[in-house]
Amino acid sequence: MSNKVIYEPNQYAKIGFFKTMLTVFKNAVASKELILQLYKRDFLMQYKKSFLGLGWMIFGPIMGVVSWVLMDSAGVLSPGDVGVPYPVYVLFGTSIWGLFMSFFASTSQTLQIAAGFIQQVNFHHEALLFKQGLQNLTNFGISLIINVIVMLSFGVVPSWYIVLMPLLIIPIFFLAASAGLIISILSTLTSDVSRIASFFLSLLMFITPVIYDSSEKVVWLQQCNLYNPLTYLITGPRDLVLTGMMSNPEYYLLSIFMATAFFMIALRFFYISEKKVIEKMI
Amino acid sequence: MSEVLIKVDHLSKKFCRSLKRSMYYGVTDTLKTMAGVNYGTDTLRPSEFWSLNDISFELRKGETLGILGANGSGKSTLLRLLAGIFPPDHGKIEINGNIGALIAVGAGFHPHMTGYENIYLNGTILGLTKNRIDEIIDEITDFSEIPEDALNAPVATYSSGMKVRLGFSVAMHCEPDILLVDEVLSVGDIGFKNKALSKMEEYKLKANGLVFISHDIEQMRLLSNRIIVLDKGNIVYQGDPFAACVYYEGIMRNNTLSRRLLKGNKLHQKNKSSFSNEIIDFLGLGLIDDFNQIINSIQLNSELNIFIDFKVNELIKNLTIYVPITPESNPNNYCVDMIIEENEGFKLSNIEIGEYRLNIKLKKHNLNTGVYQFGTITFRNNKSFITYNKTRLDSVFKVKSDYKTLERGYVYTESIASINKLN
Repeated sequence: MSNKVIYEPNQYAKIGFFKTMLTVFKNAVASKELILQLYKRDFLMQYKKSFLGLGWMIFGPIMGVVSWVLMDSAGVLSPGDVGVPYPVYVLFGTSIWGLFMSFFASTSQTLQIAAGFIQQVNFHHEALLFKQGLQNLTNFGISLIINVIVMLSFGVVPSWYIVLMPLLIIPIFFLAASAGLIISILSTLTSDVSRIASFFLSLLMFITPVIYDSSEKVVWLQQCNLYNPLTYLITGPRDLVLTGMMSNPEYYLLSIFMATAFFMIALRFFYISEKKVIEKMI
Repeated sequence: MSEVLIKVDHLSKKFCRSLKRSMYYGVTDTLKTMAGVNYGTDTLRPSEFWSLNDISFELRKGETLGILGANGSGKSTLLRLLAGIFPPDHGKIEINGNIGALIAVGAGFHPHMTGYENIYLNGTILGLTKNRIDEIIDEITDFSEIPEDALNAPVATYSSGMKVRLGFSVAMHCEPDILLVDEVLSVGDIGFKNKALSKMEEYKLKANGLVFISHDIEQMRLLSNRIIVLDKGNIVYQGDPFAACVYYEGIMRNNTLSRRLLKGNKLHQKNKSSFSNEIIDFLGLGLIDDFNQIINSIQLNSELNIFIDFKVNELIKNLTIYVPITPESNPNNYCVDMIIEENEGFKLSNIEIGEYRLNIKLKKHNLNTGVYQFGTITFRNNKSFITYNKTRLDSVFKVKSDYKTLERGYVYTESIASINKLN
């Protein structure tokens, strides 16, 4: 017989920290077809029972642009001087922010999306995480195209850094997924966690300079912006693309490091606990 | 000895009955695991219970292992542990070969996807590659008997039977080395069920290992080489399928019916239905042994002694008493219907006011192992067509198994068979 498997109590905790990363990666590669099938199921099927169908992938972001342009022209926002036309600034910023939020929201449902069969079939659950990521990347890719169209129509030419965008969003994924994975595990145990988490995340948007520029705001808000890694992970890529410059590259690198470390810890947490919590998915 | 496919060694699994405690244990356990604290899983905390307790067995190549047990005895938990879905709390499982579990059919089906799309989705979840599905898709669709036009329509438009057939067909074509099947053979109509059974037989012939759960004892006995009987998480019997089925039937009857046993007194029972014109009051009935003690079970070969107590409130010219016995599982179907009336040497006329006990002795009752109850006891005057009392009790008595015979039907026979060659 080809393979021998042993199941023992707490066996996943006995695997070393870095080996966990390797195993997760291997399992994800091994389940690439599963990732694709689940992606098809969850991503394409949400448009199936709709007249506009895939058209919603484009209409969604466009509706977002319209609302920001309206609010800006009505003068209800006081963003301060952001250097580029405000709709461009805010649309691109919120697109990246939206990517962070959707990475978080979907990874916090990692186990839950398979609730129908996770207790019936044994498969590599890492596939669920990567499938969720892939789904968000598709959405972001489309909104990126819309963003570029909006930029050009406002006379802003994005810098060449835009080709680095796929790399620049990796740390954002890391940070969002690390919070999401932990929430996914804990929320199968108790529903308190996801409620608290969604409250804090809605606060997070205010202390991240996405829809405003930090420099003209009150001191405590500036302080919050300063110590918030998301400030750098989101505004860094935005400024690079819009202006070709980044204000605090050293903090940006530090934030990347933090996000990566946090992601590895969360992945480890997910890997060693997921089997234990699946039996409590009732 | 052939190769060992599954080796289960002192396996235990616990669950928690209380939702709040389960949350608490879950959170503390995961945090401890993360912090690297080594916590033991082999003792019970408050509200926990062993769903499986110290289970050991082996499955060898070519063997079919049946698992029998009442609801909640741990069968499905065991299958999930073997499939690697739940981790054990104690002990060890060794699996040689790839394992496929058929615990629920149609895993991951999306209602808006077509039959074909769902075959790919479901097959991939079950571990098939796309190339492999391409190869066997015709076999799968043929086996499912779902017409081509339906396969191109969303699964949401299917009947529940069609969905199950589709899911089952995919799962049956995964062909793992070891297949675990949980109670899914009860799906579909008779034709499909038989087809599924013969597919299982095919598996057996290919010398793969098969572990399966079913409540259908007959099916179990035909398919298995060996049967494990689980009771409250413990293996109470392991071995020969025939003996295991007898054993299982024995414990099933003991478990489920103890609370409804005949107490020998009507006053303690709730009537299922009754009619009385107050000329005769039915007081109760029961079984007694040779020493006049009330009993609620008898042996296969013993005498059956019934007593019926009643009270006569005015002079009765003529009386006939109907005493039917029905199987507990089918109370409208009499297997014995005794008509007690006057005959030579037995007077049942001109009965004066007072209380009486009627004793009925059946030298040989011929009831097979099983659970029975009395039907409607009727007191009537067959000459003037007056019914005095009709009462039915909801309580049962058992004919105990001798754990040697497993006969079907309600009648117990002792037969002597012989075979002679005809020229």
